[in-house]
Amino acid sequence: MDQMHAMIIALATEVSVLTDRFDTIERVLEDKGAVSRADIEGWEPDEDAWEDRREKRDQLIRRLFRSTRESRTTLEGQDGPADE
Amino acid sequence: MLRQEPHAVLPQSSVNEQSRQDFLNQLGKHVLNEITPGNAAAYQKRVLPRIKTEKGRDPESRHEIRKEMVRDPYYQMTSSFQRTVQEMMWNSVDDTIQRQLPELIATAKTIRDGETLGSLNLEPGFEIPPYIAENDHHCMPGGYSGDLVDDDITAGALYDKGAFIYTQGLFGPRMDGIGRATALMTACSFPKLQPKKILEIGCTAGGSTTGLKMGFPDAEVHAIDVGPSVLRYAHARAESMGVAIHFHQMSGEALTFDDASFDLVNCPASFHEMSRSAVYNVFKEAFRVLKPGGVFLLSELPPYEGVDPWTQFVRDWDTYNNNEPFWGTLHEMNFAEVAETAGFDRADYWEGTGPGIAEANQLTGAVEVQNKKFMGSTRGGGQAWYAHMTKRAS
Repeated sequence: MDQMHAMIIALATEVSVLTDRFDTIERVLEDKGAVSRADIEGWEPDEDAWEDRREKRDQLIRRLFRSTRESRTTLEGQDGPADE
Repeated sequence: MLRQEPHAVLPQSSVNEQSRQDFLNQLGKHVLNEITPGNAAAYQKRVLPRIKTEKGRDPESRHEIRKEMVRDPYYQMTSSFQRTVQEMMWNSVDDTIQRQLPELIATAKTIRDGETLGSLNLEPGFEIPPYIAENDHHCMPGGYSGDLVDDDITAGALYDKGAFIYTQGLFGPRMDGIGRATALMTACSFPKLQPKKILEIGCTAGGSTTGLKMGFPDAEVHAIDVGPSVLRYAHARAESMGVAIHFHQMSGEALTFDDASFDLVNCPASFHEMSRSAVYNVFKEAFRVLKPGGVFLLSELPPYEGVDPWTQFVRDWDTYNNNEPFWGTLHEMNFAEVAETAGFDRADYWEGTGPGIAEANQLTGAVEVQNKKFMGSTRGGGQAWYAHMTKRAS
């Protein structure tokens, strides 16, 4: 469990790093007059963009749960009583 | 892209909040459709053989199955994922609400203080029944009765926005699918009824109520609930949609309406949130306020009777894991018997999946209905809503 905690905290740290970097990019774009934060906050996906994101999200989720799905197919494929 | 139709008090998600809610929605679907069904193999391969060895027979009830399944690591894993996603979904919606709560409260108040099509009738000092007050149903923070600040509308907003995500749009962009189905079913089954006065018990955010009013636009519609926050929200929502509904803070166990004053009384998925004794009392009150020839209709997911113990166990997840303590008991109740106790004639009692509900489900335009991928309390059982109807003798 300690190892899992260490991994989760490391992951959360990297998410925070990414968030900070996005914030940097948005501020720089706004300072340069290219794109405002309001542009970003107000942007809405059209059907195509939404579908594209839904697909990418699905791929991420599939990768996340790959080993879990494998444990299901292993369980289903076994004959007779299964080990834990 | 299935989006909830905006109205004056629907909280609007920011870019990040929408991303979070979309992700949790999709992740929840993946768990339900691709991971949770593996429990059947865990049961067949590990748990059932153990039960048979220990008891020398097949399990006789879902309770026997549950007591063994909770020890299985695959079930523990899926149950943990389902509960975690549920909590995270509510939290993500709550963040959206709290960010704009003062504006939403002000909007609701402005609507309420202006000229209204319907009305809002709250009772100062109203005592909320303990089966509502003491439980955060389906893990919704604060449940149906949460009311933390002056003129709070959080409970209503949580339900309206959260349930849309939770049901994956099953009830349609206006969250009115159950109400439209109810109206359609009533019109099909009782074409001569043509209700002039309708009561809805347990209206929460008013989704079903507005659907019902759409089906019977000339009827005077009254809706009750016990929580002031859900009622303030429901009223503002309905008014902003141009739908006239009279909302009252009232318990279905103690209606303050006169005898024989309604043509139709509807209870849309409210009973599974009540105690068993409350269900009996609501039936009695429904009988009292119905005119001769009037109809009492309630909708829930199908009962457990006739269903094998394994499937019952699957459908019973919410009772033990999703703060739905009355779910299991409700699905075991014999409503024909409850109706008869209340004064209805058993010969007038009917239950089943009617044409109205199936058609109205298609009307909601939610593709997931077709595929029966409902991240709700079916937990992979793939059920449609079920109706129980009875008529007061003419």
